Amino acid sequence: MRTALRILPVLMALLVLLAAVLLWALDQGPMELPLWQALAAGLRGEQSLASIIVWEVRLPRALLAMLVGAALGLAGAAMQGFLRNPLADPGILGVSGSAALGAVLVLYFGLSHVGWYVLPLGGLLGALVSVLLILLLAGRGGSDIALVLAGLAVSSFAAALIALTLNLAKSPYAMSEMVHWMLGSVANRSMLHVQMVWPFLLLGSVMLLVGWRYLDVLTLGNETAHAMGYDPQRWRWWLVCGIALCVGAAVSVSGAIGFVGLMVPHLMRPLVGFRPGALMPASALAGAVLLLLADVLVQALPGKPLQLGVVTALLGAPFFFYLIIHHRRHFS
Amino acid sequence: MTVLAVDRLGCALQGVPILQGISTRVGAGELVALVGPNGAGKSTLLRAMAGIQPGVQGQVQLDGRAVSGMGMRELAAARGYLAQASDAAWPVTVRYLVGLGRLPLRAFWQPATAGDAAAVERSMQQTDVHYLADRLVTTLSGGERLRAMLARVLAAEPLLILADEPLAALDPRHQLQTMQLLRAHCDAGGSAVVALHDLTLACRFCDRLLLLECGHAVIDDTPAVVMASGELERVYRVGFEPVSVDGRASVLPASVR
Repeated sequence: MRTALRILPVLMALLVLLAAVLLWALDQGPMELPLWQALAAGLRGEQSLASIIVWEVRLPRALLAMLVGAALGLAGAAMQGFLRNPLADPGILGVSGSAALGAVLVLYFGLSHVGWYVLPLGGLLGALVSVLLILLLAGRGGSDIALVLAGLAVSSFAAALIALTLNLAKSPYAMSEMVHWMLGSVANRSMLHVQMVWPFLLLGSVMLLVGWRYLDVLTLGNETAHAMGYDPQRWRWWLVCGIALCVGAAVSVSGAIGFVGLMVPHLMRPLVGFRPGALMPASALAGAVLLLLADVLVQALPGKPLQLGVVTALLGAPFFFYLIIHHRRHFS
Repeated sequence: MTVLAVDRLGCALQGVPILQGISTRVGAGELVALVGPNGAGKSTLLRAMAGIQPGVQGQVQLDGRAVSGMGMRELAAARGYLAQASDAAWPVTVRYLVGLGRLPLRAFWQPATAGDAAAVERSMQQTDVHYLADRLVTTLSGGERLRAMLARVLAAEPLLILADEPLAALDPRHQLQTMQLLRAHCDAGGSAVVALHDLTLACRFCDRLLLLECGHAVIDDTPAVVMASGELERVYRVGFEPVSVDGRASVLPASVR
């Protein structure tokens, strides 16, 4: 975009927007609360019903929505920059499918009752296994195409194993528990969940953000990037690990929340331009705003509560239609 | 002073030898044309000289140091490499694209300085893309894009320029301008190795011609010696007519043999 704005003002504006949406999200819920008093009471360490609801129910949920949204937005921008394709989704690496498989297996074997941490741990292990599998399949010197195909193979296999697990579910209740989890949600989570995933998300995000120069230079192709001092073999795995950490940790705690990673970079390009280096921080903040808004929407809708992943898919899939129509002339 | 030294360089891809026993020297101020028919190994040799070709045996030394032992960043600052048919994946402006050439020169947390901006403007002037500075690369013609890519190489102010067919898709005016630019770079003490198909321009502007045939160096000498050797006719299977352009002897491909 020729009219791309400067990156810093956009990031500042997104931060302000995020803070405003966070306050709004904390104010939303089935119960009317004096938000400021509840926040202040919590800060003073007083235990009132209002402060417990705000600090221990609404805040963890909002924080998780923000963290997951940020991780997915960032991973999406990195993935699109890495493959130099605006239609790439971080899910194509197969990490989200494998993380979902890990969590579903935990539910299948009834291990989730051992402790709150077992379910996300299963997801993280699934993500780790998928990265090792992709590494093995694509090989160290493999091409980008080999990498994408390895991701596709891994995610297909994970989907098959999830289907098998659902098929063998011991009871309709167990099956519905797994399906429900896979739909994706940040409801009924505690601060412990936040504490469990944030180190992974932070590490993955830092890995992706320090890759900004490689991704910018990659605009000129692998060979030129290599000649300019960025070894594609080394950076490829660095970025795959960063994306896997972000997506794996996000899916582990929230289930599969699709299309955020695909959509958010597109929403940001008119504002910050096409260079992946600028797109990554903007997409992280915008992803946080978007998913938090979606989660508020989920809670505000009347009737049977919808899962967050259902809402993002309902919004995201038509957006994908639009993108394909918009970009189809480039494929010919 | 020798800037680039290549010794017994060989390269094989999946068991097929691409280059065999190439040795050459490029001194300061020298403009060397890499010529030879399609598939002779020009691009592979350029990549090997740039230190980015896998599967290479033998030695490539840049300014007295083995390329294989140099850090990628250090290497990037010392030599510029223009890939064949370079393209940009995203619609970024020409100025931004040229500015990417400055990235290897500073650490990743350092912002661009006034010196960086000046180098970018200067190299855009040199390749005649300054009037396209705010245009999106994806809207440029093939020749305009190639000049923007060459400006990206020049922006890093490298000692040695390695360019793979920098004249492809350029109109005659910009072909001449590009050769003059490379000539000026070498006259100012730099060096360049350029893969070329235009033998007329190669003989006219370059100090030396390195003629490749099936991965072997056939002859590596001044244009006058190469033209007199008859090797051009044999390797290309083309009859050349001697011409004189602007006071310099050159050849014109005239007939298929």
